[in-house]
Amino acid sequence: MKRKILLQLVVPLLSLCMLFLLLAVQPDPASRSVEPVELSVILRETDTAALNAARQGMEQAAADLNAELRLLTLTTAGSGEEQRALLEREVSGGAGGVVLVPADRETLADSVRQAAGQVPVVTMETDMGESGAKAWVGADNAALGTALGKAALNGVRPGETVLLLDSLSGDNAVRERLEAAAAVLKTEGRTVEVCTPGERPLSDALKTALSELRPSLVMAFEAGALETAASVLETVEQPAPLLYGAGASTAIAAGLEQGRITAIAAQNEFAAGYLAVEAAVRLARHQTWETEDPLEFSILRRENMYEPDSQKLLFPVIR
Amino acid sequence: MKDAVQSLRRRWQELYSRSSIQMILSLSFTAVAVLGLVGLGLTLFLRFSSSNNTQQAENSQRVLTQVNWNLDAYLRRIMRVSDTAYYSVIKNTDVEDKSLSPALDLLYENNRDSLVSIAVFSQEGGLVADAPLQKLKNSVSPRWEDWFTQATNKIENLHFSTPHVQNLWEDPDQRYRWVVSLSRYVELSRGGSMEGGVLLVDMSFSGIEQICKDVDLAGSGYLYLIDGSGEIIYHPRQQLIYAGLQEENNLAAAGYSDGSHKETFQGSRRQVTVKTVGYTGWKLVGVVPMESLWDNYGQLVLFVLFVLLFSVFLLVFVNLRLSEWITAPVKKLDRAVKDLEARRKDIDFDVGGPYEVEHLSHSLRSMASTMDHLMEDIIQQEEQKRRSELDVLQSQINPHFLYNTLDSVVWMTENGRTQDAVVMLTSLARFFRISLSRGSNVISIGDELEHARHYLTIQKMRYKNKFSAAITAEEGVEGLYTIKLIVQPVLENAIYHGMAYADGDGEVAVRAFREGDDVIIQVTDNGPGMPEEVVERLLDPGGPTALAGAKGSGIGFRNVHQRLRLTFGPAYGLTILSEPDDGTTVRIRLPALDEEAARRYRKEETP
Repeated sequence: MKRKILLQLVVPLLSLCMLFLLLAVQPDPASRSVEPVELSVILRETDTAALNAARQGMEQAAADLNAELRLLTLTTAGSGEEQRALLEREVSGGAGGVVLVPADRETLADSVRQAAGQVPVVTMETDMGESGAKAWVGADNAALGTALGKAALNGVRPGETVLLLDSLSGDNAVRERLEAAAAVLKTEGRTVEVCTPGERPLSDALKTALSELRPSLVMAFEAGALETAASVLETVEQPAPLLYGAGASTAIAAGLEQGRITAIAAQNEFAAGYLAVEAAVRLARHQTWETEDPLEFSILRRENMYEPDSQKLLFPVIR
Repeated sequence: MKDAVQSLRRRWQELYSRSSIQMILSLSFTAVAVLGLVGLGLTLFLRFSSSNNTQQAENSQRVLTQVNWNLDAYLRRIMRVSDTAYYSVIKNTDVEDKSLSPALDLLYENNRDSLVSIAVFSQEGGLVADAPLQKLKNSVSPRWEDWFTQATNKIENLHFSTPHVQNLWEDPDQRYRWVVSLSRYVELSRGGSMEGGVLLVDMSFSGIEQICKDVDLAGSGYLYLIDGSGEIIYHPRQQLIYAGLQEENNLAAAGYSDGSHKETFQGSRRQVTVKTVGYTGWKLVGVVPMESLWDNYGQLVLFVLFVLLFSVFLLVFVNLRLSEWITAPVKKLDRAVKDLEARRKDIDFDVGGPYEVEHLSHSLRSMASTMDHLMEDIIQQEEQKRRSELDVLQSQINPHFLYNTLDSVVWMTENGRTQDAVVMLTSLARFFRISLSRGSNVISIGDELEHARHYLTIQKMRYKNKFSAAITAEEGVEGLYTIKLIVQPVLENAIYHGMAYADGDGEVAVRAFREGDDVIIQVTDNGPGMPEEVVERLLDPGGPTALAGAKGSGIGFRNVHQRLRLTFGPAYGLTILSEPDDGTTVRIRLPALDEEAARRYRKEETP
């Protein structure tokens, strides 16, 4: 009888109490917050001015996903070697993930492969998936170059020269865009010249090229080079060649509005920054991340830059 | 379907018939109680949930009302600035004589926390005055801007734009500000004549943001602001929406009336509260994901769940104990009935329990007592009946034999064979002495054989020694006991049917011997024997009472056979082995009764 009562009363009672305790001590969502992920963002520029919108996107993603960002700029813009050193230092320093805007695939391939074995590496603009990078965020570079080339056809007559700025020597997004644009322009009978600055500053190389080649149109393929080109073209004697380029920043918007830049191919830099950080954080937390389709881009001119959608693209809502 | 229902019903009935009362009671009580509890709990929970939702909706309404009030105040302030600029400055100034800028500048300075700029444009879009003093961009043509065309198209209204980047002014710092523009048609006085124009007040977007951003809605709820067409004016994640990384159900919200609504957006259920902002037609939209509402009372749900579980457990326990207590007397009664079925003595019918069970136990006790008495009566009656049958059978023997013997004595006396008559009568006397045996039906086998011997003596004399007879007994057998008068009827048949036609060579042998626990008394004659069908009829209780064409009734065999079976059971009685022309052997099987066993049979005879 006692055994029966024990089975009927005590055991279930104890089980219920256990259940209650288990349920009661379940941590609330606030205390279940995950540890922050330390992310290193290795840029390609010497400052973040040209990447202002992308940086805002990164910071927004970091705030949403509880990540800590460390933005690392280079002492020499577009230096693959410096990026490699930074990448190795950050990974060995315990970074939870790396967002990289690669300057040169060849220079960085081994380091990225090595780093990707330890932490998730996400690249922007230049896809390094073959080297082990887990994700890539950016527009379709070839399509963007082609679109820019087609847009430039109206600004330069057949036989005239188009100067393409190979601002980042090496295998990267700029090279892909440049090659695609060059192909379109050549096909349509334009003379294509490429300005490769090498060790010299881009502005100097551009000035030399302008005086030597007298191009009708200059085309830059990244925001920094476009801003530099806009500044250089402002100083040359009129009529200055038309300027086309890729990238979106307030300086570029101002150049577009003032007519210093004729047209740009712009992607949503805020979205690019946000998605890059989101991918890195989720991969660092061993969550799934499927590389999304390439970001969309638009060809913007002064005439359409204040259309509602263009405003949203060019001018992030600054808070 | 019908088959399935019937199958289910059959299973249910089988389960029901296999289950004990306690189990049925426990399960029924528990099921009803649990159903009741769950129903009650569910009702309370739904009621609470509904009440909580209503409360949250009211809370959202209150918050939205507060935000609406603040936003309305803010917009009215901007409208007052516009009114002041128009009615106090523009209407009182001839732009040809005096610049509007100082007054507008003063107005701007007084409200610079909310304003980005104030500007007056002519009907052609030329800049008349502005504050702070800025240069109009060459590339801009104000008359084609939305705010301008709206103002000139509906001159009686004030027009609020959606957020846009203000691109009118040159800015050396290349700043592009998001603003909300308030524009209106104004009449400008120029050289004494009136002309149309547009007053533009650009309010800081951050002013609206300040009002809307730190709103405390339940859980992860948030608030956003849209214009009448659903275009977002403010959203806490506005840039994500602009970048295409997030979506909002703003177009649907534009169609909602003021109040609380429920919607499902991107698979998530949300409580949406809408409040229209007075003059502008803008709508404040408060969004509270339903999951947030649940988060708030998750602990309460847990507590309710636990209480429910605990109550169910207690109910189960109490029901088990209660049903056990209720069914205990019934079970006890069931055991008593089983004892009764097993014919056990001293059965305890005192099971206690409620009135009905107590009454039932009394009735069963009474019934058992009655049954006992009836059984005893039946047994007595059966015994009396058996004894009567024995007596009747016994009584069938004596007159039959007496008649035959006395007939022989008469016959001998008439023929002068006095000595033979004396011998016969002496044997007859001894024969009857053993037959009487002082009233006892059980006698020793020795007496029974002696009885047979006297009978044979008489019969041999009657049949003039046509046959010879021998009686032998295995050692110890004569000391055993039997019911009396079992050999003589067999001998009688052997003589009548076997020896009657013998010519001095007839032989009758009686042999008594043990066979295991039994005693066999075997009577053998070398008479003509009988066919098998006659043998079968001899012991058949329903067979004819006389053998066709034969002397004697044949009743003796059946008589002995039935007496043995009535006394000792069906395993005992006569076995007849006979073939035509090959004699007859009758085996009488009876149990080997010693003195003690015989006493028991004698006792049974005592009425």
